[in-house]
Amino acid sequence: MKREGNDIVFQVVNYIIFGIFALICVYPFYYIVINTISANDLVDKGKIVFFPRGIHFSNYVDMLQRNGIARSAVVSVLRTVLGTGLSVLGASYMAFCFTKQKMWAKKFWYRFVVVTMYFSAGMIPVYLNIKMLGLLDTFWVYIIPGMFPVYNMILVKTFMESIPPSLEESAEIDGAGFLTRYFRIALPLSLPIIATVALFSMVGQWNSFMDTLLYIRDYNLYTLQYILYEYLNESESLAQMAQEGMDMSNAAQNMTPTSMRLTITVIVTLPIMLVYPFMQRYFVEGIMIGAVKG
Amino acid sequence: MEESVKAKSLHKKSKREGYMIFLYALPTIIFVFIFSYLPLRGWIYSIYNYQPGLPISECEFVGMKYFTKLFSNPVMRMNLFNSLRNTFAMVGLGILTSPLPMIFAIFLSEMRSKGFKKFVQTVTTMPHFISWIIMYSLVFSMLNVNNGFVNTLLVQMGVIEEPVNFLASQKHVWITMKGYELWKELGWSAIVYLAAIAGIDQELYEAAMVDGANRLQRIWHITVPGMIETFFVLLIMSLGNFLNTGMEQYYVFQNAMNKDYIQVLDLYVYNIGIGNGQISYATAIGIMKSLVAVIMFGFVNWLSKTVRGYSMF
Amino acid sequence: MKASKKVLTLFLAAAMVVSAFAGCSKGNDESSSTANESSQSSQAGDSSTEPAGNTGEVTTLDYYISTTAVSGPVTGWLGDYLKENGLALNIIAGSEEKMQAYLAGGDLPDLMSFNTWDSVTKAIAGKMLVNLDEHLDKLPNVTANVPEAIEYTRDNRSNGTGNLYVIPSSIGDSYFPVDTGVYSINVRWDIYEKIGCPKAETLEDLIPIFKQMQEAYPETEDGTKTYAMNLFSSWDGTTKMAAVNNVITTLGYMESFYQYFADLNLETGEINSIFDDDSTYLRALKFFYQLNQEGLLDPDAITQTYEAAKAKVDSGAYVAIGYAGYKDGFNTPEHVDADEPVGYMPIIFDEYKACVIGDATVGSTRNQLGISAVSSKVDACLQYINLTADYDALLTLNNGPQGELWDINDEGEVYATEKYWDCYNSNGGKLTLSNGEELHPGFTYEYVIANTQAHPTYNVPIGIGNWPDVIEGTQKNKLTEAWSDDNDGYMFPIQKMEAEGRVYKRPLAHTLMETTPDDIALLQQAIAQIVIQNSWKMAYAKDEAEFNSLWDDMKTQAEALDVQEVIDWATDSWNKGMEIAKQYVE
Repeated sequence: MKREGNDIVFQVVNYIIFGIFALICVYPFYYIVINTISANDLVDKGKIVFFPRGIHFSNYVDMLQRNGIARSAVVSVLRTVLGTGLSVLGASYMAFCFTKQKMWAKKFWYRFVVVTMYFSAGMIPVYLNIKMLGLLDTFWVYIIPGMFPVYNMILVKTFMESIPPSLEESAEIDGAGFLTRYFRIALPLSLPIIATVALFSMVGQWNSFMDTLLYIRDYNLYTLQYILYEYLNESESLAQMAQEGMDMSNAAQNMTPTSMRLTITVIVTLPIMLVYPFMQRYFVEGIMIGAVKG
Repeated sequence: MEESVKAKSLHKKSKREGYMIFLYALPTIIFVFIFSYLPLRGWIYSIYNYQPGLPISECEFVGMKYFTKLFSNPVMRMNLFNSLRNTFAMVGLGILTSPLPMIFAIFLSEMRSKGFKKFVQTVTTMPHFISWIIMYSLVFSMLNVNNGFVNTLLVQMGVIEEPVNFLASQKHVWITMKGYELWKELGWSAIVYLAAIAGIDQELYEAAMVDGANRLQRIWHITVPGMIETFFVLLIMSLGNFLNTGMEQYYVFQNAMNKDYIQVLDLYVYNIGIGNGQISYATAIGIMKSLVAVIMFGFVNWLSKTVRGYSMF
Repeated sequence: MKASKKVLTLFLAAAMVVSAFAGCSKGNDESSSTANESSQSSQAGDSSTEPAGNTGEVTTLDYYISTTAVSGPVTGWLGDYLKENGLALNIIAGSEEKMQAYLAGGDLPDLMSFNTWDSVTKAIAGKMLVNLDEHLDKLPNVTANVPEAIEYTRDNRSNGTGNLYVIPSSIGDSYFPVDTGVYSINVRWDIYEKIGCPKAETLEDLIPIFKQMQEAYPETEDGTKTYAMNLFSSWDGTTKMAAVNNVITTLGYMESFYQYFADLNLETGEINSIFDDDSTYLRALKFFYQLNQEGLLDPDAITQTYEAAKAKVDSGAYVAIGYAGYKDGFNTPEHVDADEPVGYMPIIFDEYKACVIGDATVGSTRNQLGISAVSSKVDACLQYINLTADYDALLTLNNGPQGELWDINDEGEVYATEKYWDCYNSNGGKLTLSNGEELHPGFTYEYVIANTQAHPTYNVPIGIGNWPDVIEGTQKNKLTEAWSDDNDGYMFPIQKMEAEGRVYKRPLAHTLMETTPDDIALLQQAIAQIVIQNSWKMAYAKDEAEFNSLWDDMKTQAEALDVQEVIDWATDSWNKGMEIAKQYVE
């Protein structure tokens, strides 16, 4: 009886704490959303804090009517889907290889790979490398450089190592080859972590714009994030003009108002928010190893 | 005799298998080499006064000039020291708070209602997607002197007499910065632990229930061991990376008043203009940071090996 | 064995697919002009003003512009106009990173608009630019209309080769028909009148006036407390405390010079360290400090962004502001033409000397146009450059198609059409073309000749906003009349200032200074960090003692970092610039 009482107290406290934290976390997004639908002049004055006032949706309409939004959204979706798929395969395949203790000079090669997380050659050398590989101004520059993400690989490997080795051993005895074991056993059993790293690369792919900025000149290959990034950047170039003592009265007219910037945030975040719950079930609900075994 | 032959052939077989597995891994290793090691040729820029566009042979050779420049002058040394102090403070707080995502995940997974669980999990990741610039304008709208509601509230309650510009305060900068970061990233960083929990065989819990283990015991003996590996892996990785605190957050929150405490190394390097076109200088600093990171990583890995008995990497 | 073969084939297949795609898009490069063109015309089709029967060949140029933030094809009326001239532009927005990467890679986009002489020099050294001296026959407008600029560029900006690699842009005289540019201290004229228009001799005399105004108008209608001077820190960047601009430029000092830690007096030409105890820089800081002591400095100034400060200006929450360009947000037609007009106008105190942007006889420091050596479309690039140096074309390029907002009458004069005035009066000043497109006057894709330059035939500046009848019709209102009554009947501030000989144009040397060497630039920025930080702290110092100790601290640190080296370099470079300028100004 006492245990049950304890349990109720535990649950209640747990609910309260998480409830409060959830509220704190919802607030920024709520704040952004109400600011995108409130009267823009009130938004500029910072008057919208808790409730929307003067509700309208013209910010969204304006935004979605901009040139090239649709095309760039297609590019963004393509790179996200393809990039995520390939990088998840890449990370998990690489992780699977490195779980094999027998691999020749495994320790050396693992460190050879892991250590790359700690250095970067710098922007220019990387650019020249990409140029040398002929990836400039191609769609593949979005996909290929990120195909074997080391960080994700380490996460997957750590997870795979916690899987009882007996499963794979018995499959090996049954004559399953290397790739079969990877596809049939390691991959399905690692679903929670696969979903996690998929989410990581998905968000990474969807949000990145630096690669477009540096490597892409063809307008048809611009991503949604990049187009919106440029839009946000207008005020930055305004600041630069101010520093050079230019007359900005003209430029100021072209500046992005605060409400638009917030609208952009909502537009780019929403797709991820929508996909997220679908991926969640893979790592919120525990898997039954027994079920996989059977 | 026979046994040793058998052992030998077994050894031979396993060796061959080792090579086979290596062959499987080889393409990925080649890939990593092409995209991460090949560009390192560019490190040569650090000892030249590199001008983009000119072949390196036509650039002036400057030796270690850019490596020593950061330390060249007492004022520079003091600033560097200051920014390193701030970096270490942030890293220290980072280590102190590093179990939080794990704890978050544990308690969340103990929650009964699946719907609520999913709800909490979804909304706590939302701040991750909001850029620091927007976070700043949000914080500013709450904390500003003229009509921020925090000041209004505090004045009305009589806690303070005059409104305070909290953002221009140099008190508790490290802690508030960490606080903002946790606000933004805690839910997001818990995801990987939730995955680890999901990977624990449910049969273990069922068995423990049968044995009469209570909640705490189940957490301590099943959940924690199931994710501790992930925790240490992440900790070691992040310690190796300790100099790369990033700068976006600190950049948007910096002002004249809090600068002495907010300027971490990355921000300092940016502020003194090395980001702008000083390719050779930036490369030299990048090399130094990489060296520190690799050494630190090796050290932490060694430490964990001595303490925990085996090496992670 | 089998499995390993499988993996190998998998990777090979993947590699092949990838390279096939890569090759494919490579091949696309050549035909990209047509692809771009079709996408562009389809977009232009939306706005449906396509001139019929245009069969000429159109060449699409990749046009990198350092100072533009938004990429993409140029569409709409401008796209159509360029198309009539056989051109289409695919704009590539500029950024520091891109410029470095492109220079390092060596393959610049077809047409380049550089924003620093430094990058021009690097591009010349790397042989990435076309020698324009070999193509002068295709640039007749340039050679005819801006000969000094060409001469100057050849002599001074060719990395020692003596050849012409770039054409400067925005060449022309500056023109200030109404205001003193962006630099003046503006007060809420309605409130200033309310307190009886007290006169001020010096900058410091303004403080009690501001105080009186604040007392007369302690908060706005929606309850925001009022302050004086709209300072904010988000534009400080890495080289200077931008807020100081507001003050020193109204005392006749050049704003861009204190990034070298020196005051440059435009009247005397003297250059002094800002660390001297009688420097104007120190005076500006003291001014801020006194404002703060009087409760006039916005406590949020140090933490607010440009947007937040502008929103407050837009709602009139400052009794006084710097940066005249910002006042438009509050000086709306409803405000300035009300029965009791409300709005910001410059306060002309005795000491006020306006520092204004000078003539760009040999081009501005920003935006030099060059053609990539690897471009296959050199002729089209030359054509674009030549077009933007053509006075008649510039009328359209700046003001939209002829017959829309402007036209030429029978006497051969340009005039603003009925439509212009309709837009102005009914549309809140928004200029809309008949296809519904909005025209942003002053927004250009970097033309060789500036829109303030006078058109040789019509004798008016190219930009429609500066035509006399337009100025008369758009700038005069009840507020300026009220101002005029209080200021000896001068119609606009500039007229009073000019009549009293208090306008100083930045000398040409301003655009002729050398590129800052890397070493100096690094020093400059390291010192600027200290200066920016201490300057803000000084503005908010508790008392004189704190103010002075911060000043001493800043001085000591800057001296320890060899600030004199920066000042000496800047002084030297300025003097050289003055020497060079003599050759190009009569």
